[in-house]
This record gives sequence, C-alpha cells and structure tokens, in this order.
Amino acid sequence: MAQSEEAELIRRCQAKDRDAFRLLVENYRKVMFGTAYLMTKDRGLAEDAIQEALLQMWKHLPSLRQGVSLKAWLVRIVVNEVNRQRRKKRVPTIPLEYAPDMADDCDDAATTMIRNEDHHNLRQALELLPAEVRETVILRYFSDLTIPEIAVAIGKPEGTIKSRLSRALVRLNEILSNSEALEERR
Amino acid sequence: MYEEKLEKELRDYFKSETESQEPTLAWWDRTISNVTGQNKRSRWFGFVPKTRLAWVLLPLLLIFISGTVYAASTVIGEFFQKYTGGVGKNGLAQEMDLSQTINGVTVRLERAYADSNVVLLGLSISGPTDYFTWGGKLATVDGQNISGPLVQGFKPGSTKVFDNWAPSERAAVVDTFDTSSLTGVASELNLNLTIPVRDWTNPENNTTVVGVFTFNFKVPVHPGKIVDVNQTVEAAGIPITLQKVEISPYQTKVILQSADEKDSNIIPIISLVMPSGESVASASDQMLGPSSAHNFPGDFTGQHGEWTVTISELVFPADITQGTEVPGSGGMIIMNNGSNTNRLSGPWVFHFNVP
Repeated sequence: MAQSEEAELIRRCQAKDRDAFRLLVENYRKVMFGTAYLMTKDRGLAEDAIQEALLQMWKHLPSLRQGVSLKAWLVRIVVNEVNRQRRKKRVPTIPLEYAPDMADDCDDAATTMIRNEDHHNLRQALELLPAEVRETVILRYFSDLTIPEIAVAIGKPEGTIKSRLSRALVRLNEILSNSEALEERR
Repeated sequence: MYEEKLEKELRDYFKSETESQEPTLAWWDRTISNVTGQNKRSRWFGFVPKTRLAWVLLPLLLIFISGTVYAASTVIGEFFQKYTGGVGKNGLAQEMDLSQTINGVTVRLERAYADSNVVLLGLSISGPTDYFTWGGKLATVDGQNISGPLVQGFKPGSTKVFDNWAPSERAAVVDTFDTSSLTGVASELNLNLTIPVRDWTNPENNTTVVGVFTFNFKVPVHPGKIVDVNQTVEAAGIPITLQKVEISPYQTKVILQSADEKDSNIIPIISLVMPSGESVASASDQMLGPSSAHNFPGDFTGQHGEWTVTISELVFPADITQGTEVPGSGGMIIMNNGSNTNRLSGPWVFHFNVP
C-alpha cells in the first residue's frame, strides 16, 4: 500500500470511517496476529489480544500523530495488549488445535511434522532466550520493524535493542551449534 | 556469515509458525464489525427467502442444517475419546441430553464425568454469535463451589476445526472443574451448572448478562486412589515436600508443598516415572499458595509398585506485576524486564509405593 494511500485511510479512520478501518487492518492483519501469536504461542490468547488491540486502535487512531510509523504503532498496541492480558487473571484456555494427535487430514499432518522437525532446534533455542530478548527477536525478524521502531514499540533505548539482537544471534548460534554437534555424535 | 543464515532461518521459522494459525477472514470480518460497532443486530433476522424457488428449497436447507447439527453433536464424543485419557477410552463419561435456549443460543450438556480430582462436562453451543457464552460456575446443590473451569475446545466463532465439522457459529467445549476442595464426596455428585449469556453486540458493554443457563444433574463419582507420601527432599538449599498423589482414570495429580510461601510462584519442571518405566511430564500446574498441584493426564490406575517423581529444576517466572503506563495511551503498559531466565537445578527425587 502506497504511503499516500495509507495516509488517506488513516485520515478516513480518524473520521470514524469503518470501511477505511477495515482496509487498514486488512493490510496489517498478518503482522498483528503473527506478533501476538508468537508472543503467546496460543491462538486463543492471540485472538483475545487482537480483539482488544483493534478496539484500542479504533479508539486511539484519531490521536495518531502525523509522521509516526503506523506499523510500529499497531505492533506496539499488540505488544502492550499481550502483556496486559498476561497480567490479568483469566480463565485458562487450552486450544485443542495444539493437542498432539489433532489433524484434519493426513497430508497436512505429515507436512506439519516435517516442518516441525526442520524448525525443532530453532524453536527450542528460542525458548532458551530471556522473554524480553525473544520478544525483540520476534519484532525484528517477524514483524520486520526497524531498530528505532522496536525501541518505540517496547519503550527501550535503541542501544538496548541493538545489544539484545546482537546477543540473541550469538546465543542462538551457540545453542544451535551445540545441538547440531550433539546430534552428530548420536 | 552465520548471522545472515540465522536471520533467514528465523524469518522462515516465524512465517511458517504463524501461517497455519491465522484466523479466517470471517473471524477478522466479525471482529472488526464488533470493534467498530457495526454488529448490532443478529444476522438471522435477515434470512427471509425472496423468491418462490427459495421458499421451495427452504425445507431442503433445513434438513441439511439439522443433519449438520446432528453431526456436530458427536464432536463432544470425539473430544472425550481423544482428550480425556482413560475416561474417553473406557467410556466412563455419562451421556446426558440436557439443553436450554436463551435468545436463540442453545447450550446442550452432552456428557459428564466425575472423580475425586475433576468434573468434566462436554457442552455444545449453537446460535448467533451476537451472544457470548463461556465459562460458567459449577457447585454442588448443597452450596460447595467447584473451582474452574479450564476450557478446552473452541470459542463461539472459532473456525479452526468447525470449517470442516460444523458451521462456524457453533462451539464445542469440554469444561474441567477441580473437585479436590470438595468435602464429603459420596458415590454421586448432585450438581448445579450456571452459564451466563452475555450480549456481544456492543464490545464496550459486553458484560451485560441477558440470561443464565441453569442445569441440575447428577453424576456418578469414579473412585480413584490417594497415596499420602509426605516426603521432604532438599536440593540447592530448598526443601520441597511431596504431600500426596491422587490417581484417577482422567489424570494423576501430584501435590507439592514448599517450605516458604514466597516460593509458591516458582514453577517446578516435574516428571513422573511409573513402575512400567513409562515417563510422563506434567501437562499443567496449579499454584495454590504454598502448595502446588501438577497434573499428568492419562490413566495410570493400573500402575502398581514403585513410582518416582523427579523435579529437575525450578523456574522463577517473570515479574509481571510491574509495568509502566504510557501517558495518554489509554492504559497501554510497557512491561519491565522479567526474570524468567532464573532457573535453579536440582534434582529433587521422590520414591514411593503405590499398592
């Protein structure tokens, strides 16, 4: 979406134009949901966070300042909403789609298994990172935010973000190298 | 050089992780409508055949819908089979057929199971998503509240599985309630389940309760086994007591007690080794002040002999009570750093005999 087109949509949203809001969300829905899902690892929680985040967006778009990156602003709302929901005591929900033998058809299940095997080590390595570092990695490599945008999104100085990312890559590389060496020895 | 490769791997991994979880366009559509206040009236009111042919086809459509509803009602049976361990496999859940309708929303209580650990209730929900039913309260008729529920299944509107099995505006859930605090449990529980129906048409006012489903029913209690262990093991300077183990066809619950109440938020990484040599890891943990309960789903009632509970390490969770509100953001919070990387290695190992 061109910048001018986005600016026009924002202007229309600020005038409470629902269709414009729909188009704007359509453009960023993958990054918004993906960020929430990767942070929570729970589809139900991610959906809850997105519902609340959309409400915040609809409410606060009129006060969005010109020149602010819309994507960073949206991701910031999602990150804050996920963190806010973590703080709330809520009815625990276990989405059944995570149950190990849940599969709608064999082809999908086989594909998922192969894909999971490919990423198994990386998934485990990410789990070993501190939560705030993992969050920064998600914002950089999934949400595709720049370092200044991440700094705004999570309210930390740019230097902290750079150092977190650099430490994360070194640590991930160490863990992955160790697990590969371990597998070779088996 | 490794950085470029790793960065690409991360991008690929995140992309593949999220793609399969993406909600459907219908979910986005409905959510945006709710958020922007468009979803004010039930879509069912708009369904009126406009041509003579449509009126002729209407009975066929109703037959098709009723067939689909019948098929969906077996989803609960499927859930019990797959996700309730020995309960589903051994057919221990009692079939029920209690249903109620409020404002077009029908909740059907289809199956129920009880033991000394849990009550499991299988419910299907149908009707317009303008109304939201979720959770509920369970109590004995003599007034003892039963904590829960933990809800497994799909929310109203979720389409992950119901794209294939049923219309998207249906939900099927298994609610799990914790009966461990009940006293004087006999061979049968006489229960009262209440589920509020909330108006979902206005997201800013979504707590308006427009009615309450009420079900009264009796469920037989399947006898389990309680083993009082009361063993204390100290490692890394921290003593932990294994109080008791409750074994039922649904799950085995291990109850731990820490010496200091401030340790109650620490999550133990815990596993169980049966006399058969089978090893299982805990699937869920409940922190109950100074004590904690760790659940191992599956039917281990036939395991007699020496059991071993091992806590390999203790994980200190992030401090999520501290946050900084962003001025003028309408309540957005930036979290402070947590400390969930703090782990303390044990092990704490407990051996005990199950007759």
